[in-house]
Amino acid sequence: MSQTTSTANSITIDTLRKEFNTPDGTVVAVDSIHIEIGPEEFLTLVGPSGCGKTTTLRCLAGLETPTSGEIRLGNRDVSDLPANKRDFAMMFQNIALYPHMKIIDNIAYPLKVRGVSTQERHEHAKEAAEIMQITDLLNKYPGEVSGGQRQRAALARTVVQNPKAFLMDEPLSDLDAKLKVEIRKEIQRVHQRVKRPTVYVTHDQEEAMTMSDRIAVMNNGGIEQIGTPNELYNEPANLFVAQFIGNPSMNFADGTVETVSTDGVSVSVDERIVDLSLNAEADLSMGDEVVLGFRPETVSLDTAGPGFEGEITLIERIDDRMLATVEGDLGEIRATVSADDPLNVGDVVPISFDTSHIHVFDRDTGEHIASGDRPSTRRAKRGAE
Amino acid sequence: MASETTEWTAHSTEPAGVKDTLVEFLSRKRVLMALTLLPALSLFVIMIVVPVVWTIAASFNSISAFSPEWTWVGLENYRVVLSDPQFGTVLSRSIYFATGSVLLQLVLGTGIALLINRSFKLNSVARAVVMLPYLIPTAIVAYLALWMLNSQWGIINQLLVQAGLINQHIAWLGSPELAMLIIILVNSWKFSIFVTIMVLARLQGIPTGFYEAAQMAGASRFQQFRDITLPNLKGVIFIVLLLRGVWMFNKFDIIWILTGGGPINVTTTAPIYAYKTAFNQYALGRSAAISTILFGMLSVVAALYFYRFDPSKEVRVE
Repeated sequence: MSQTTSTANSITIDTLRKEFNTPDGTVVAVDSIHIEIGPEEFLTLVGPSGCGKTTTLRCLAGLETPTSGEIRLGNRDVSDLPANKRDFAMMFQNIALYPHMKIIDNIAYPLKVRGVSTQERHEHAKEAAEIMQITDLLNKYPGEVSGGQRQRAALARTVVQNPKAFLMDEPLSDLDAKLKVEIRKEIQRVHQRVKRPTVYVTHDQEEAMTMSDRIAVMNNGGIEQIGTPNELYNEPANLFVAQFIGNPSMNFADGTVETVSTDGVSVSVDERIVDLSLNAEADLSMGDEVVLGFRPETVSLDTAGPGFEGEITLIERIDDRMLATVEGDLGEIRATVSADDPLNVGDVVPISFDTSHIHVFDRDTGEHIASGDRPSTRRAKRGAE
Repeated sequence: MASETTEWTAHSTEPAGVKDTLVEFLSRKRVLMALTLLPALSLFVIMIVVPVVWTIAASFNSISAFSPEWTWVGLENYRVVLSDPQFGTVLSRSIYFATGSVLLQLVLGTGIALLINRSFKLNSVARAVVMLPYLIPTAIVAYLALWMLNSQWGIINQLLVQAGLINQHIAWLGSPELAMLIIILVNSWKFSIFVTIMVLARLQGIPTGFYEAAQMAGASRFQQFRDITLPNLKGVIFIVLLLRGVWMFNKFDIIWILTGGGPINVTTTAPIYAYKTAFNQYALGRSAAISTILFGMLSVVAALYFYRFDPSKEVRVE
């Protein structure tokens, strides 16, 4: 059974395009995207609001009709199948439990529409409620329980449905930080248990990074990059992904390529020279305008490097680390340093960064050109080949 | 509150003392309550309490239309009314008229609401047209119907004959078999729209997310209607049944204009009977007794209804 269902259960979004007609003309919400979701994969669509991620999910669900393109379940084209015939379960941001039904009937609803007897569907609902630890709420109405409990019930409802795929439209957005983490775990547990393709939509890169097998970063209706959380973090395809993934986000500094030699590349930044040793694919020539990207955790504020310096304007403590904001030669730079470092607001400190973790982007196109030559990625690359 | 007051007076040019006192006076809870309640309360007393008390008082007296004298007769009026076999008949006619009207209005009104709640081209035009009958005064609706139903020149007879559905003109309102049915139909043409307005407002309050969630769960259109639309309409249907039921039971104008209670009294419902008692027989006291009995009956029905259905629960939106 597992063999046939697993291949039949992969999902393909094939050159999907969705336009909306507005009084101001046609708006392209999703522009010919292509994604394949494996039969047991947890894929997250992440991006800023208006990037088309929810529209993509709604097309997948059948709640929107694509302008062109196909949605395939296994080899079967389901694009023209209405939402109620697709057998995908969905979790919504606004929860959408029916206020006039008790929690137990809400959970059992997908079975009711299939004509399962009341007794049998209540048994299934109780089982699902046990997994979600909400058995004591079964006879209450949604209005009588908390937001987190409601979302647990909504998750239980999708489990009871035993669908071909799970679709989740920002299900955690309305919950507070602690509940978010809690329900996040529940969703992951369910995913590991039922092993069905799951498409999760969020604007929160942290959720995406912690939950997903793969992430598709969307922007302006298109996909910027698809990859594992590690790939997106370590090898961002362009400036957009680089600044979107990671919190606190990557620092950027404009530079110009001065010399290119076998030893490496030197880039002038704010009239100072930064020497870089880049990986083999680097394709740079003299005079290229680039953007250097480096993450806050690779910045150090106590070692003199190429001669940059700046004044600390803000210090935020995060657990055992400090996030320092430094205003100086490189503009506003953020650095995560040990909380024990004797730094104070107003201090003028040297700024240096680990050039082996640097990213070089094309300033015009935003495309990623090269990364710092670090042993670990080189090994990983070779392993992949 | 206090700081707000001082700030406000600080900016005004008038002497601070007068305004301060005024604001302080108006801020007192009792004063504010009295001032805000008084207009509605006085209207309620003048329009409802006084006539009701007056009618109840009148029902214990013999009152002639031509003399201002009230003669105390105790329960005599009630005895006469309740022993009159005609009273039972007019009551059952009222119930028949009210039940028929309310059911028809509920079905038609809800149907129209469900139709115009869907989005289609010219939807707003359709909505405007649908609302029109409710804006036409009842008397005009009644007179229009009178002409359209006229047995000699009425357009309805004309059309039906031309369509070959009937051979000869029918005296719709003159026929003892048809008259009641016709007034129910005419009445519902206008008042179904009240139901439409109420139901439509509720329909638009149902979040689309409910329907989307149901679709994802696999619910068909009918199941969505049964499991989401209908339960959400329960509250409003409850209120509509009560309000329309009471109003239709008391309906006077449209019946009086269309048939005046005829032919041979088949459309003489309780309010028409009370009116005739007052202004044809000039028995004002007896008429007041009839009204009081109707008032009492409706009060009991309404109380039972509210007790049984607990409207605060039924009308609850979320």
